[in-house]
This record gives sequence, structure tokens and C-alpha cells, in this order.
Amino acid sequence: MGEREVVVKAPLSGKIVSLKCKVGDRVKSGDVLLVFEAMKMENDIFSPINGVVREVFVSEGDTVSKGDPLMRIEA
Amino acid sequence: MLPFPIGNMVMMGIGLIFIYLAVAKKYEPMLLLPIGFGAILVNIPYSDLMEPGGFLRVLYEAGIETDVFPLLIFIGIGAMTDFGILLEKPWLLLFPTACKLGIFVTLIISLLIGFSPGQAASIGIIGAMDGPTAIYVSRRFAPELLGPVFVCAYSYMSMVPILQVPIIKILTTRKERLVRMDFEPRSYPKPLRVLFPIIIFLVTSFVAPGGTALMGSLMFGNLLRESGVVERLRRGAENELTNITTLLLGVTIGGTMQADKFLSITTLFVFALGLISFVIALSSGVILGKIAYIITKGKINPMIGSTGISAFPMAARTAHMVGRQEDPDNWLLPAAMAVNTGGQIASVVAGGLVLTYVPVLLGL
Repeated sequence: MGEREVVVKAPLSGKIVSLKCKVGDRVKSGDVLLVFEAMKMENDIFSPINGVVREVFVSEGDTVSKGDPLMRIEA
Repeated sequence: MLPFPIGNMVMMGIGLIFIYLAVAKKYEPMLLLPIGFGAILVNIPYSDLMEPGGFLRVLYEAGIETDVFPLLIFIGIGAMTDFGILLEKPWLLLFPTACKLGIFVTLIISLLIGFSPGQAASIGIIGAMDGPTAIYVSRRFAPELLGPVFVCAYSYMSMVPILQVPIIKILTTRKERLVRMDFEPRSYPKPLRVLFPIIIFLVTSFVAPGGTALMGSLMFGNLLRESGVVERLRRGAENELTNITTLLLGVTIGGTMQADKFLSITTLFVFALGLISFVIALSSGVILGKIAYIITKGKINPMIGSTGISAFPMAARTAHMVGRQEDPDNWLLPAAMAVNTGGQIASVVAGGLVLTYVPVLLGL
């Protein structure tokens, strides 16, 4: 993976509640990428960089484990 | 025209504020909305809702005077709580234990002010931040304070974030708040999960037999969950039973807020002392967290200490959110939840200790 690319990973085991962007969307650092539910608490997952969403690895309702890739963002 | 007593207007205003906080601010709406409406109902001048045979009086006698409401709530809480998270790091129970300091310090302060031993114990238990335990203890030791004590306990519980955040910010440094705790709960074998509620119940009941009904209800609910063989009962306890009891308990609590009984200097003292109990509870957890931070050379985030109260899961969520505000990649939630679930057990144990030993020590 190059320096200009970030794969956002699941911070905990949980469920994808909703996706806030799709492949091709331009996002800024701090933008909400998706809403993730862990331990019955919904959390926003933010973009760590300015860039373009190149891949979305999950769908709404998916169950994920800690460390699973969620999105790939290219600066 | 019949006179409209000013005290009733004040209490109806308080009821409206509760409803406003529930609806507009979403502060614990499941508690504040029924409490607020109950307070309005009972303060309509010349209403007979809390007179013998009245609607709220019947609920009070059936659910509060018999302890049925708090015990049913505990079955529901047990059914919805994953105590298995504590199996990973049982030493996290130290934080809830520290939080219980608020109970005993406030009990002593209340005694020094001049409250009777029973009243002091009932006021102190507010610091457990556990509504059902507060009801259970105060009904036994100081039924005359039941209304103020449980309105105070539930009001403060609904305002946990308002107090928890400033206490965390005052007592911790930014460096401490940025500590990440890598803690992913594992899955434990079923026999261990089934044995957990049974063992906890047996051990705590021997240590503090006064709390047997409280802990028994909590762990019975948890056994429904962990056994895996009574899914319908678990769902019923977690949803229908808890929802119906919460609804009835809330409106009945509101029903105890009658102006002529509630508006008194004693109530003001109960709220002031309850606040002290709450602040000591949160602070002592954070201070132990700071000590743990030093001992572990920065591996423990002191904020998780503040989640050792019984207000679940608000306390854990608040600590987690404060952590993420300063570092969006800081996921304190599992550790905070573990301490918070421990807070529920510790609060019931503390209630049991008060019920068992306060009568002996203070001659009740």
C-alpha cells in the first residue's frame, strides 16, 4: 500500500449501520464515511485523509470483525 | 373558583421540565418522560391519584411497597447485560469498587448533619447510581424519604454525562485521556458463562445476605441470557418485562412528587447530598484510574474509572465519546463497558452491604 492510500479498518467487532459515501466520492479528512455499531452504540467512522473513495468492502447490515477492511481511500 | 396551591404549580412546572428534557434534549426519555407526567398527574389540585384506591397509589403499593418493580427491573437488566466481558480482565472490578466510596462518605456526612442512620444510609445509596437499589434500600430504612431519594437517584442518573464530562476534564490531563486501551472481548466457553451468574450470586449472597433478592434477580436474568435454552424468556425479560416495569415505575416515581410532601428543606438536603455522593463516586473512580495509569506506566486510561457507576451504558458511552473527541481512533468502549457492567454488580453488592451491616453498625 502506498503512502497516498489508506485502508480504513473496523476498530472493533460490530455491524455496519449505514454507508455515508460510495466509490468515487471525494471526502475530506474528518468526513463521516459510515456509521458503525459496536456494543449497542452507534459510532461515526471518519475519513483520516482528504481523498477519493476507491473501494467499499462492506454493505449496510454486514457484521465485521476487528481489523476487517471497510473502505480504501486514495489521496 | 378553587384555589390553585403554588406548591402544586411548582411541581407541575418541574414535571414539565422533565418532559422537556426528555423530548427536546433526549435526556433519558424513558425515565424522565413518565416521571414528569406522573408529577403533573399527582399535582393536579384535589386529584385523588395518590389517595387510597387511586391509580398511582395502587401502583405504588403493588410495585414499590412490595419491591416488585425494582426486582423485575433487575431481572431485565441481568437479561440484557453481558457480564462475560468482565471475565477477560476481572481486576477492572477495582474501579467500580472505588466508585462506591461515594455511598459511604455521604452516609457519614448525612449522619453528621443530623439525619437518622436509616435516612443517612438511604441518602448515601444514591451514590450507587442505581435506581432499583436506591428504592430497595430507602423503602426499608427511610420510607419517608423514598420519594426524594429515588427522584434524586433517577434524575442524576439521567444527567450522568452532564456531570461525568467535567469531572473527567478537571481530574485528567489530555495526555491521560489520549491513552488507548487495546481490549477486544473474547468469546468464553458456555459452561463458564453459565456458571458466572450462579457463582457471583452465591458468593455475594453469603457476603451480604441483605442483598440476596437484588443480586438474585440480577443474576437470574443473566442466567436466562447465558443458558441459551430459554430464548423466549430472555427476550421477554429484556424487552416486555423491562419496558412495562420501566413505564409503571416511572409514572409511580412521578406520583411520589406531591408538592406537600416533596417541597421541603429535607428534599433539598437529599438532592445536595446525592450530588456529593455522585461527584465522589465519579471522582474516586477517576482518581483510581490515575493511580492505575501511573502503576501501569500509561497503559490505563483514567477515564474508564468514571464508568464504575451503575448507570449503564451511559457512563461507558460518555467516557468513550470524550476519548474520541480528542482522538477519533481511540476506542475505549470495550474497556469502559467492562468497568460499567462491573459497576452494576458492585452497586448491588454495595446495596447488600448497606442492608446487611448498617442495621448492625448503626443500631437500626
